[in-house]
Amino acid sequence: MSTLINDIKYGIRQLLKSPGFTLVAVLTLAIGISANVAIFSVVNAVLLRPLPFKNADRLIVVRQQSRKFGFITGFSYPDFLDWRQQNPVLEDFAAFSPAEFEMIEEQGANKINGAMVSGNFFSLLGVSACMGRTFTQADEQPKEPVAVISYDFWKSRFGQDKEALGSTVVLQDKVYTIIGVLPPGFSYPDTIDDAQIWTVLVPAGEQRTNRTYCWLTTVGRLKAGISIEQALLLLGERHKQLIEKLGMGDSEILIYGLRDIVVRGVRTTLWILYGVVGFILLVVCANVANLCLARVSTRDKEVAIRGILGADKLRLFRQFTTESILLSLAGGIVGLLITVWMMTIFRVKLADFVPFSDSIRIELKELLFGLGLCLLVGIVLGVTPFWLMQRCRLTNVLTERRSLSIRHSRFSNILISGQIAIALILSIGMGLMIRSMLRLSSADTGFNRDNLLTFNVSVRRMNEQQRYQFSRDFLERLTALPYVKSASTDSSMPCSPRGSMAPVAVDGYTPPDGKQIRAIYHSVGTDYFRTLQIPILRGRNISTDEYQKKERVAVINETLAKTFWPDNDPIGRELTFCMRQYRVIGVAADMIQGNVRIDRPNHLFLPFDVFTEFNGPDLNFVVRTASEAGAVIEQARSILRDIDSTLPLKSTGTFKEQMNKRLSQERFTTMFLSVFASIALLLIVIGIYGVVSYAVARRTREIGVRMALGAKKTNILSLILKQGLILLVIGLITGLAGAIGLTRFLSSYLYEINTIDPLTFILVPLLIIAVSILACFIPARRAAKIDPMEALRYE
Amino acid sequence: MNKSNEILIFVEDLHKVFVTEEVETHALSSVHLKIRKGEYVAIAGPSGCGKSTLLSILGLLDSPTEGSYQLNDSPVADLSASQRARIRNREVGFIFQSFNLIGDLTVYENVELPLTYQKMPKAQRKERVQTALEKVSMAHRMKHYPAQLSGGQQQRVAVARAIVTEPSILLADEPTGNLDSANGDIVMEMLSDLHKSGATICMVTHDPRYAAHAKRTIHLFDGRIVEDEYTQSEVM
Ligand SMILES: Nc1ncnc2c1ncn2[C@@H]1O[C@H](COP(=O)(O)OP(=O)(O)OP(=O)(O)O)[C@@H](O)[C@H]1O
Ligand SMILES: [Mg+2]
Repeated sequence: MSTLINDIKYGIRQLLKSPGFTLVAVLTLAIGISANVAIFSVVNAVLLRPLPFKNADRLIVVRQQSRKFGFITGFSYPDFLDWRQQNPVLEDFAAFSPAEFEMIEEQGANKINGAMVSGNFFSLLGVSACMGRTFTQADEQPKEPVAVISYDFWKSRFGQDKEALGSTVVLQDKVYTIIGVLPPGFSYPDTIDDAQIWTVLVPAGEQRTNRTYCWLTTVGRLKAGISIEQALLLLGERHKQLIEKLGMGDSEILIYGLRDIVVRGVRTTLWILYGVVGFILLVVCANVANLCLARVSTRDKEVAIRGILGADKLRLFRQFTTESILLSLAGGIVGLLITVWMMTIFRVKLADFVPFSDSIRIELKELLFGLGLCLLVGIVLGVTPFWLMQRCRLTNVLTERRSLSIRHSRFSNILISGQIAIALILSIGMGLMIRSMLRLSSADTGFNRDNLLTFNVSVRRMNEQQRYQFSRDFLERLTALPYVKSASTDSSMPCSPRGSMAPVAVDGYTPPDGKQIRAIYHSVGTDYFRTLQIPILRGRNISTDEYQKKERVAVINETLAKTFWPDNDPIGRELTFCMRQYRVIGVAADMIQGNVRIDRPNHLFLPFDVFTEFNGPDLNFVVRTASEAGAVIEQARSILRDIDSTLPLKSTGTFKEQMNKRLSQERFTTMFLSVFASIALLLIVIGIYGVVSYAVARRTREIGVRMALGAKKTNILSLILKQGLILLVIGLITGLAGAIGLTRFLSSYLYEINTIDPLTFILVPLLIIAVSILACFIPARRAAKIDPMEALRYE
Repeated sequence: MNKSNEILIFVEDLHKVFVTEEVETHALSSVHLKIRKGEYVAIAGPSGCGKSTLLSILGLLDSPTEGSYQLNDSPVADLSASQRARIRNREVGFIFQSFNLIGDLTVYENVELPLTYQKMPKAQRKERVQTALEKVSMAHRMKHYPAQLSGGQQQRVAVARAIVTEPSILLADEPTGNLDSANGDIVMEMLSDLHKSGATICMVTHDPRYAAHAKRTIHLFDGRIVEDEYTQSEVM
């Protein structure tokens, strides 16, 4: 024990003796360790930490998939009841549906995200109220409506007043009694993670009885000892029998673990992040190992003498590792601060696309992970020089035959080449992502996405005539606002990811593969094409007259026109949509729907109020402003209050914001890669500089001899640069091979960029070459300036 | 025997002053020296008297503080660094006390090194290296690394490296200093042979025994030539 203390004291003394080395090493290690701990905390929160529900590992989600069309749906209410009633493999089975509740408050109407859940939902999850109670299955009987609210909602609307229990809220014109407050931090991650108010699922009419309305999301708990595969086998069979008995549908059952379904969109990203920080740790270790090696070789004589004097190996080993572990622990402590800082950034940046991001935090597990990492790094750093030293004969060191330094420098060279390879891989990843992001942001969406503001207004209670009147009045007053150029409505905004799709048919046209032609339908207001600046390629826009007379006319997009009438003029032709005939009066240019990556879909534009079958509860407004005028939304609110104060308006931001939000995963990955690729570049500059400087110092005498033999400055310069260049070439070749192998993991993010994009694969190595040569050049110049007299004097 | 009376080295009133931390060391003061082609000169004197300093000025590794130096009839004072490097490479061969072979290079590569700075074609280089190594009887160790050779063998390789460019003058600074007497004798034997075949040699040595190999001994004391002694009146 006391020898350990002595070792530690000796180690600290050694580290303090060379503060420059210690500082650089500690900071470098801090970056590597903190990045790993931070990402571990993300992975732990998202993938590892048990969900805060009872027997969370047995929670599953069941969906159905149409064999013929491939789309995935939830459950119908009657199906759900059947499943819940008696089930051989499930202990319990619950269903829910997200809901946007319209709530009348003193300041006016508001929309609150919520969910309608079956009575057993909370008991299945093992969640009990922190005040009052949650639902029971008995609440599913139609009686006085009850609601449960989130802790945050209780805080913001009731100021944590106990009186909230038993008080009422008006949701969708119905009065609900609040019976419970959920514990703080509770949220259910699948589909309804932002719910504030929960009500009991009590469907009526078709929704209650129709087995083709598959609108419910489910969650179940497997009986103990039953695997997902077994459940799939048993339930799949049962389901097949059921739909055969009922003679409907062709669906099959899909079962996912709850966590799997929630995290499946981010798994790849997390692995990429993990890979990146893993690489960074390697670069960091290589860098610090090189620094340590250089230091140790200045001490090699001392160590050799100790060895010859009979110091035992274990003792020497302990001395080496104590010192490096001290170093890595210091790195870990500094790293902890960086981790805390990084995690505050992560929590914000990841919130847009990573589930459970608010549960990212440093706990015992993260600390232990960091400690383990420090010890591992420390041992690796300590073992390397010890191992190298063991491999050379002590007498050689003493007789100045210098095989130790040569061995060191060979090992250092391997480390440097490895670092260059990793920096190249990361930088190529960065290059690809940046190129892809640039393409995405300049991609043709088919409409002008600048300065477009969107919001929606709930018009649930209005009949068609009222809606039409309201939208006309509202639009008229909106367009009169100073910064508003034009405004319109659309049932399926092109910035929203999914438009509503329905089959379109034309007499005499049979689709080649037998599948129906489907189109995204937009029931649009007047001025729609002008507001979005979608060019009309042929024919004309829908006229005010046609709006007023509710004529059955349609504008279709180019792709749809080409599908139906590849060789003829589509203007004046008829198409059938939802059992009615429409006359084509215009062809608009193609545009995207939500996602630029998806091929240009079919679009069908119908005059607002002519096609009313699928009218939703909301009217979506889109406003073209003169600049990014945020004030417009407030003015719109006040106009709306003027017209009808009970109508809730929900701002959905600008077009750009909405589309950017969908790219947040790509953006984060790009940023992350860029930051760490830059760190890797910086580290290789430090690394190359260090190794080449050390080599120059070690070869001072050799350089002196060469000069005495007639080497010119340029000979010396190229001698040193050549050493650097060899490392560079080896590193680049390895790195390129690695990049070719690894960039395919980025393929799902890349837009119109090949994973082996030639430009990136040329420019990035050039960048690395430039940076490396710069790093070599400084010590090389120093070498060329060596005074041969001085160099030869070291005798 | 290629003897000639041409003057190879002509040094007049040479001074060398080292200034370190405000201490001035007069390593050489008012040195006058002529060395003719084919001479074998030993420089002797106590430690710190300026022998090495003189030798490195003669070898263009260093420049004098004052005085003139003509090598092969041309003054060297105003040469650029790369011109000096070129002269070192072609006209001067160095042999050091501690051999100074490059550890990462083989015997062959060490000897070849000065030739590579001349951009000589490979085949010709090979021939020269071969001849030089044969002269010092080290041709059989061509592929070895310096660390695998004994001190005497290393010094022989160093001699080969010094003569491979066929320089006008060989400068040796205590070439036997790190060797035992047997190996020392071999190296001295070799230098004598080289001298007999026409080489001009200027050698620093402490050892009067070895100084006797030379035909002329210059005694330095405190940076000055105190005695210039011709042991054989062969050259005059
Ligand atoms: N670069 C230098 N800076 C300062 N003083 C120097 C330098 N080189 C030589 N000297 C001094 O010049 C004097 C002559 O040195 P030199 O190396 O020529 O002696 P030497 O005769 O070769 O001695 P030895 O026989 O011990 O090798 C010494 O006093 C030495 O300290
Ligand atoms: Mg000397």
